[in-house]
Amino acid sequence: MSLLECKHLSKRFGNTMALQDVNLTLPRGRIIGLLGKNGAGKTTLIKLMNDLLTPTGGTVLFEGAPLGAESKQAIAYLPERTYLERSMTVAQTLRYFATFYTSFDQEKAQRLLADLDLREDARISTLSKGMQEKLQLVLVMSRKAKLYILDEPLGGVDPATRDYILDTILQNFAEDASVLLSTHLIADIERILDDVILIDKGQIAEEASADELRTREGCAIDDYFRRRFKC
Amino acid sequence: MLKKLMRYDLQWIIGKVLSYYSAATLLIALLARVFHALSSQAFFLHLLEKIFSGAFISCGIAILINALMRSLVCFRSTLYGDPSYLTHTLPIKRRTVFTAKALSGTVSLMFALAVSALGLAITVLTRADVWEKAKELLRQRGTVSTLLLICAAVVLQLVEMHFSAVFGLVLGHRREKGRIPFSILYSVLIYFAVSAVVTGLLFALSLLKPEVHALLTQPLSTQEMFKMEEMRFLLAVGTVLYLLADSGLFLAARHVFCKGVDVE
Repeated sequence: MSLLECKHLSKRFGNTMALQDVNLTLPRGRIIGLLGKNGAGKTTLIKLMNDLLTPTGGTVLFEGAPLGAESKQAIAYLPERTYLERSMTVAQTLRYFATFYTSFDQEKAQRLLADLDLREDARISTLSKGMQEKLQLVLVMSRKAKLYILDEPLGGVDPATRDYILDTILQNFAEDASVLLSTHLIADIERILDDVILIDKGQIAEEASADELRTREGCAIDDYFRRRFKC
Repeated sequence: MLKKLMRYDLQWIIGKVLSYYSAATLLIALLARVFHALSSQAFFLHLLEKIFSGAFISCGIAILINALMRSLVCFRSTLYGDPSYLTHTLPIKRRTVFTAKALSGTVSLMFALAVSALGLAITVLTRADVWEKAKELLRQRGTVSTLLLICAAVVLQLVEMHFSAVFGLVLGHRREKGRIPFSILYSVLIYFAVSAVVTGLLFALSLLKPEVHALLTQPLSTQEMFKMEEMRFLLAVGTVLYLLADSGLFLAARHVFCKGVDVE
């Protein structure tokens, strides 16, 4: 059984069709890149996979069942924006995650935070946006999930931080789990991808293994992307 | 999960702001009472009593408004704002999430109401003259049950106000892309519609009993009010109707919410 499946998934916002008849299957144990230009529908698709949007048509199934409390226990999602309660301290936030997510490894989170020199008594409101994003990444990667969905984890960060983020992802995702990484900074993540999903104008333009795509096109995925979606 | 989520929501709503407000309200109530006891000794003490009594009334009302507003801000922020990215990805059923948010607001309102009532008791009930009158009233048959029914009616009307606002927010988000003016409009319309239905039903029922109907159309004193069997009947029916209306509002709002959200 596949990990996650989208069947004829569509989403309309007013007169705009953000996503149209998307059929997609995410296998287990793979790092998958969801690649597309700005406004291609990456975030809409990810939000639908996380029950943050209601589909106009179609369904999302996780291990064969509709999204619900059980699937949310197994999916770790990192959105592109900061969502933590600003009045809480870092320690309170860790406790919050430990309260609700049974697979949350608090010791691992504390270890990762110590690497960042982040004090647990610091209030979220006193942290910079970059630090809050790192904290969110730590919280997500400290869960033993079956699927990690990371929306633009590299957006707006310096190259050194990008390396830190990628290393954190690679070293911390659970065995047999899959990672769905959405980004338009392809060059930075290309080396870690197993599979690639190209999305354009709300439709899946291509699904392939990263190696297969590179061999077939005779170039890096980044170059292929630039050539294919040239404005 | 309901309890855990409610614990965090209550911490958010009540938190430091309502705790300080409560302490200030009770302190002002106490000062008003102290200056009342001393008011006969000097004019400035009498003046202080009036100032603190006024301040207590303001605080008592403000804490209720504050609790209602904070409940609604918490509801909107955690279900439709940036923090909703976390709320909707928690491994909790959607109906449980809604129940926790709505009930946390209600509990906060009850907390604020209890603080206001306690303040009122400190300021007014501890006065010897008022206490004598209260004792006299309490000795009359049926006073306690009438008082309890009045309390229930007040609580249920506050809950109606809260649930109408919650339903308005849910509808405003679902139908009008979360635009606040529409949410407010929906809330006000729902509140007045439900109040009109309850009042209309009460009036219609009173037509079956002329003594009860007279209560709605003729003025009567407080003393008479507590004595009357008809008043208790009217309050009891009103309480049941408000209970039904509040339950209906809660279930309708939850039903619409469970159809799904569109978080920006």
